[in-house]
Amino acid sequence: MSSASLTILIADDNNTDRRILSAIVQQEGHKVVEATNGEEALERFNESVPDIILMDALMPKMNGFEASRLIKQRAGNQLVPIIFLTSLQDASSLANCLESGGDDFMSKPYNRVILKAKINAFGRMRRMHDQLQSHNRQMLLEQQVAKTVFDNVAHSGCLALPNLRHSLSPLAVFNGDTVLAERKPDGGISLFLGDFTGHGLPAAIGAMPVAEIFYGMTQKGFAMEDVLREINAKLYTILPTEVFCCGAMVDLDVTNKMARIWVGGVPSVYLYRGDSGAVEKVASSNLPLGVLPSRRFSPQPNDYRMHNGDRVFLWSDGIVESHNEAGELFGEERLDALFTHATDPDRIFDDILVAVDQFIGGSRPDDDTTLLSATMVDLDVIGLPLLHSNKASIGGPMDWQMNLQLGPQSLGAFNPLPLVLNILTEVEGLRSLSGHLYTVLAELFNNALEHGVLGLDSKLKQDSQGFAQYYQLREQRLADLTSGQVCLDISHRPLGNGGELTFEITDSGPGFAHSHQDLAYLTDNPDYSGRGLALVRRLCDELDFNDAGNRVRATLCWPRPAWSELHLNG
Amino acid sequence: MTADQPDQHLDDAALTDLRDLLEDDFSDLIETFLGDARERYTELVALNQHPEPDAQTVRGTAHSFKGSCLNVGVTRLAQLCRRLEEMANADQLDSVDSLLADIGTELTEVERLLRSQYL
Repeated sequence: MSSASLTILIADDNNTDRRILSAIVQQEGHKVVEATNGEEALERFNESVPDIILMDALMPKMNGFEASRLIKQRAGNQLVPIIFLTSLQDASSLANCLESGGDDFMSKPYNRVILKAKINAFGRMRRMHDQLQSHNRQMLLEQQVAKTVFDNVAHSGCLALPNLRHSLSPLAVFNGDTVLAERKPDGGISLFLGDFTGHGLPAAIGAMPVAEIFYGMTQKGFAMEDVLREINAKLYTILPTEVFCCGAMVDLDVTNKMARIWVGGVPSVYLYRGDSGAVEKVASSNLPLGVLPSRRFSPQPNDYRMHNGDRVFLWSDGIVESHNEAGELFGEERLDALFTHATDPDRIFDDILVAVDQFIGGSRPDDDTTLLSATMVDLDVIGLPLLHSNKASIGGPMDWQMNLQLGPQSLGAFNPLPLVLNILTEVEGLRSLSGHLYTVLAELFNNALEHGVLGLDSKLKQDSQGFAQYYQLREQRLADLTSGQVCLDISHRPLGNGGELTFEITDSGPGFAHSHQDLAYLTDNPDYSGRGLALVRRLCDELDFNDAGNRVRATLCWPRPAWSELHLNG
Repeated sequence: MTADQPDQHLDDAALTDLRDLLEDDFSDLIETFLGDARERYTELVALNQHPEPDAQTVRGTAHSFKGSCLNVGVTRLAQLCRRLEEMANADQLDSVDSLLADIGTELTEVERLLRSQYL
């Protein structure tokens, strides 16, 4: 490598030696700055910022060792190679040159060939160091930009809701853990906790598509299984084999008081019962995301009845696997004890964080300790979601109607609600109502499917055993379904300064046995089909069943009065 | 190596190298060396006249003197300086009078040789 011109500080009190050195260095095309003692060397260093320093060890006023120490201190992160010039021969003196901050030494008399080679070598090292420094600065800058983009994508969603708590302790600018929460159109909450193998940039990159898919699909009302399938497929395609995402996903259905839980690779999700203080553990029964190809990935979440005040706790392995200075793991037993001895459920979350923190003590955490908890509450505690749409159409379609008929195979394989909701929100005036619309649509469609086509009795859902049985039956009957259908007729027309939307949902079932009863009774009786129908009636302007009870018609006009004027607790 | 032969006053190969390196500045360098050497010698004599010579200062001056002698290829003088440095280091300064005298004689001889052969 040809030697670029460097500025070289020569500090030597001996005029003869300095002149010889100076001549050698200048002959190589470098610029020379001279100093005759340590103090001068320090002054010259501050003025001229030399690339390399040739320093005599023994000098008056301030010797070379002291000057080197001060120069290295002042240089900070800058690499300023110092070559000691010495006629000292004993090993300990030479070692002292290096220990006091010198990078090399040269013995007198100077061998010009060796001196040139050393200057070139240190010049190269200096340039490489500068490049590294500049790369590092560039990298930090890029990380800042990437972090901004990342934060925009993996934004905090609805983590600020009063019934959610979370804690993320990043080990680097980026965190291998991801915590996401988003409202579902039906008012529920979807939670995701992900722990990527590794830390930093590679882990954060994977988190971006996860967040994008999670938010996009959850807002549109897709089921948990669909979201997980999509995330898995995406991660399987984009991540290298050794990188994958352990995770847990929980859907809180605040209307039907239910939690759907999927755990893949992270420690058991804890379900804490508010009244009894009992803990149910939902162990991981799935492979992490991004491991299996789509055709072999089949998420199997489980449903749990959740009363108000019941809580779920999700965490990455950072909690149980954090260890103290003695090398002991925090472990599940310590975690369980916190739940057993809890006197105030509201404090468990903080107790865990404090306990882990105290346990770790002075030792550095090895993994990201991430914790997320959610409490089951009523919808009025968290309100209906305000889902934002980025679609730019103005006005949108005003006069249209559509018909969708789903046969037995389609009913088992396809959830039409996200698709229908997408079409409805093309109407500008309906966009802000997507939460309402989903609730109405989901309630009426599920009634048609579960009671009409599948003939399930909602009375089953009254206790938690029956609740589980109900969903088991639903699954089974759906799988065995050979006949039956649900028809959705949806139309919209302009009305006044807004519009009028009509749903008509017809099922092939026999209708309700007690269809002669007063509608008010049907819709206000929570035993009949949960609290859903009562809510639907409040959200709609009109709600009628036909005499047979297998067709329901709901009409909804917009603009709507503000949500606060609809008294949920009526 | 010629530098290790105490009988040799000058290392001619080293001096020729220096002359090639410094070109027009060479004579200036030799003058500087001789001036400094004379100064150091005077300093050493003065230090030695002190009832209790400062061994550290003697050592430092001898060390530095030795260094520049080596650099300009003044071999035997360098050797004598090293001996003085070693004695100072061992705190044996009570018997250096003859060594100092040798240094003075050698310095005069070196100056004569340099002036006749290189200037």
